[in-house]
Amino acid sequence: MQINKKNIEKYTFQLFIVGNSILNNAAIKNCTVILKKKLKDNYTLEVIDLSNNPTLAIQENIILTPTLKLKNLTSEIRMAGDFSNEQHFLKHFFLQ
Amino acid sequence: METNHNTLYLQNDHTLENNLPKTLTGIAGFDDITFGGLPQKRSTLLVGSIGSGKTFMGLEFIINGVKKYNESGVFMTFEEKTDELIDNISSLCNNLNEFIKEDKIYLEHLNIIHSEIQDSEKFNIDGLLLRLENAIIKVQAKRVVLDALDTLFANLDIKVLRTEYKRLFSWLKEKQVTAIITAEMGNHFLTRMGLEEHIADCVIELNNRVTNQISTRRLRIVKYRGTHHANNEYPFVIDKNGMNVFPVISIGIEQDISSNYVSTGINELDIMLDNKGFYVGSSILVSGSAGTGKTSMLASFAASIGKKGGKCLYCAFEEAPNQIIRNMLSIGINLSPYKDNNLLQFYYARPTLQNLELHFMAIKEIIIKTKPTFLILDPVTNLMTEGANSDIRSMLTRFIDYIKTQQITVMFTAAITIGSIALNPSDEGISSMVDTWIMVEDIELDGERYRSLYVMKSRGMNHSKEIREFVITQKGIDLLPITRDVNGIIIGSRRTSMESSRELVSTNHHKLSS
Repeated sequence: MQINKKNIEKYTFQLFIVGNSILNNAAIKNCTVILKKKLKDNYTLEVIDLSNNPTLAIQENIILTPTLKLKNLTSEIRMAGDFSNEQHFLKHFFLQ
Repeated sequence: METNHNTLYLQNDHTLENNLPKTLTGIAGFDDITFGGLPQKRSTLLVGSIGSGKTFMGLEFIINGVKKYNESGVFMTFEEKTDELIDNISSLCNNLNEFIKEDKIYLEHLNIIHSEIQDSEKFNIDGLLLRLENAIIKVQAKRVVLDALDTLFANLDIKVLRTEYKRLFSWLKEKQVTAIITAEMGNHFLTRMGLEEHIADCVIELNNRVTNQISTRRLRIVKYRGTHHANNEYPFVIDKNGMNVFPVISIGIEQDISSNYVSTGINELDIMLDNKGFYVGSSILVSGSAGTGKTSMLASFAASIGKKGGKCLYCAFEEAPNQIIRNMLSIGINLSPYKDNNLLQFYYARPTLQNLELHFMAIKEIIIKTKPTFLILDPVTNLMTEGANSDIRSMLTRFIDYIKTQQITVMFTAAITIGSIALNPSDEGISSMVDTWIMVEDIELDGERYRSLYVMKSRGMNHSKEIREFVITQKGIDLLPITRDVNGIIIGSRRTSMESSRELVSTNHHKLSS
């Protein structure tokens, strides 16, 4: 799947986490760093804590956490992890 | 109905059992072999190959919880879509949808998208636990099943797998639910990592083996922490009523022993059996080669039961019921009135139709429904064409044991003769499961064949050791004494000629004296 970058005005990311943990904090920190470096201001990142909203976990089919979702008009890309490997991250979301 | 007999054994075993609390699964036979079911508020790992019945067992555990024990349950599957699952299970439980609506069962499909999983990443199963907790709270579940967990763990890094797997088990323990986790048996999953040995409190293995073209499902308890358990492989079946495990029941201890008798239907045979007949609730084998009159003997027994108003189930594996009725009319035994007023019921099936377990299941179902006091199997040797011989015998033993615990007198035939025992000594093994063994044999004399009958054994009575001539006439079965003179044994035409000559002598004597 290839995303035509010109069609995307702004990248919309959602990060699904459950509660507060070292792993979650690392994930938030890591993806913020990567996204800022690569996309400057051309993105939004929404961190969603599912513990108050289990129904959303079902809707979004979240099993593993943290999960980052890139949403655009036609499709979505998801990835679970703490995003410690920048290369993997960029490759997965076609941001290279 | 089955639970009644299950609890009977449980009570008997209480003395042996420590106080580990257990949760009844309601699966027929399974609660017997585990002495009360699965470990309560703990997790059980259920492993097995494809199609071995893991999902079914899990679902039945949940459904029985609602139906029989008023405990609600959560069933989460990583494999099948929920609507497919409802369809598949509809024969077992057609109101699953209602249970779901009433918040007694919570069913959810967890779809794993493997593309989102990257090897090197760190993550955990908090999402799963969150959804599970939500479900448990929603229905106030006491029972949880996680189906096909291996699908979730298939792509995970070994380190993640280890920690998350352990976390899942301790989480479930914390939630105080009785859980079943099913996983496919494979070299790439649990066994290689030895995970199951450390974490699960109970491990059950299912398999589906094919021997001699007959596939048999088997269940084995690999491990059960804190309790003794039977560790054999147990055959089981899955049919429209659910799963059914066949335990080996040690009779004698559990069984109520009757000292009442029932007539054999043949006056002379009653006399041979200590002037009484068969014990009620005992097992009787009539054996002999082809054409020795085994079926006739069964029919005459069936008729005598019918005459007294007793209920009898006749399982025919050779002749069709109508054929039996017609043939027996020729020897003066009329079974049709008993069939008409439902005292005599027939079960007729070709042995090749299905495997032995399913035959026995079908018969068991009729027994539960109509509660006969007598059971006839004609012949059991026909069933032995299906499957390996030792399997058949162990299955037959289980079945006969079950019959006896129901206080049913069972009579069956087998084509076993002294000659066949010499050829195949294992045939004699069948003897251990019968209380009374009647042997019918051919005698050849003066170019004619005669039938002889004797009681090979009869437990608990002083039976006759005599060999009798076994005659089938138009008026039924009769047993005549066999006598000897200087020329050898007197039987058949020799007897007739001797009797007529005796008569001649006596009439002559009469004439002379007058």
